[in-house]
Amino acid sequence: MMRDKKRYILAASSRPIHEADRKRFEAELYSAMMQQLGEAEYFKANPKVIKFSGKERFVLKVMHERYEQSIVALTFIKTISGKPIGLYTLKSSGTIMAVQK
Amino acid sequence: MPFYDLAHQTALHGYLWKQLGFKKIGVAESHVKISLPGSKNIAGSICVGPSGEHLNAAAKQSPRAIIINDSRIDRKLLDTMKAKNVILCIPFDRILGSVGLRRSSAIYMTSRLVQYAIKREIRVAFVSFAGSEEMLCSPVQLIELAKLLGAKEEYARNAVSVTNWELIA
Repeated sequence: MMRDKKRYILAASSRPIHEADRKRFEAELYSAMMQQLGEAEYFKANPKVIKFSGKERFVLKVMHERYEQSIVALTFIKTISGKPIGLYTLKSSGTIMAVQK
Repeated sequence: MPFYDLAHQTALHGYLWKQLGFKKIGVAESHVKISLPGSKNIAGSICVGPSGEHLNAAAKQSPRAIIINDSRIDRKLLDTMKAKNVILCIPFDRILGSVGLRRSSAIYMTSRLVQYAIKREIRVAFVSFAGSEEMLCSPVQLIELAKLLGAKEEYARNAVSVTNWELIA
């Protein structure tokens, strides 16, 4: 079986994500991304937050073939938990090491 | 490649914009004047208005760029812009500030305008024109949004770098 190529996106949030809120933020982010991508595309993009770094940054893993759509979806998300938010794509790479540098 | 953007002062009160990766974010009304069709001294400013006779007249006065509010394709206006070397400025605030069908409609209208302008070899600038921190975009996001509207990767990169610089310089 061939391994799927992945892409790692370093994203930042306009408001801090506190440690206690991370699980909830993740769930709401997936839900918002599904709304933007549609169910079929969401399944193909398969986004997963794999790491939080500091209060505002996180690394999102997506499938390589839906990487561009995932960036557009992140850009379109303007509210999470009913509060306004801006999500910015700072960097992307094929390896998690490179994206964290 | 250095990237540039244009936003309102209200979007830049925090510190986050410094981390987005732009070399400079120009401030509307500070680095570049925003004018309405029919106002005096349009030359060198960014003229914002709906397509029509007023905007056609404004285009003849050599503004730096034009933002077509309703995103309609006005062939006469675009011909004048090409002749006068006026940049077509595409702000993403209307796309990002709306949701659902309104956003979908805005994307459709803007993409038709962008594709027509690119075909006619009119220079296009893609800016966030953000009024709040949430509406700001990183260079990667500006490029992806430009691609969504029909620009090719190379064209989008060049627009966010060179054409945006000409807009705010």
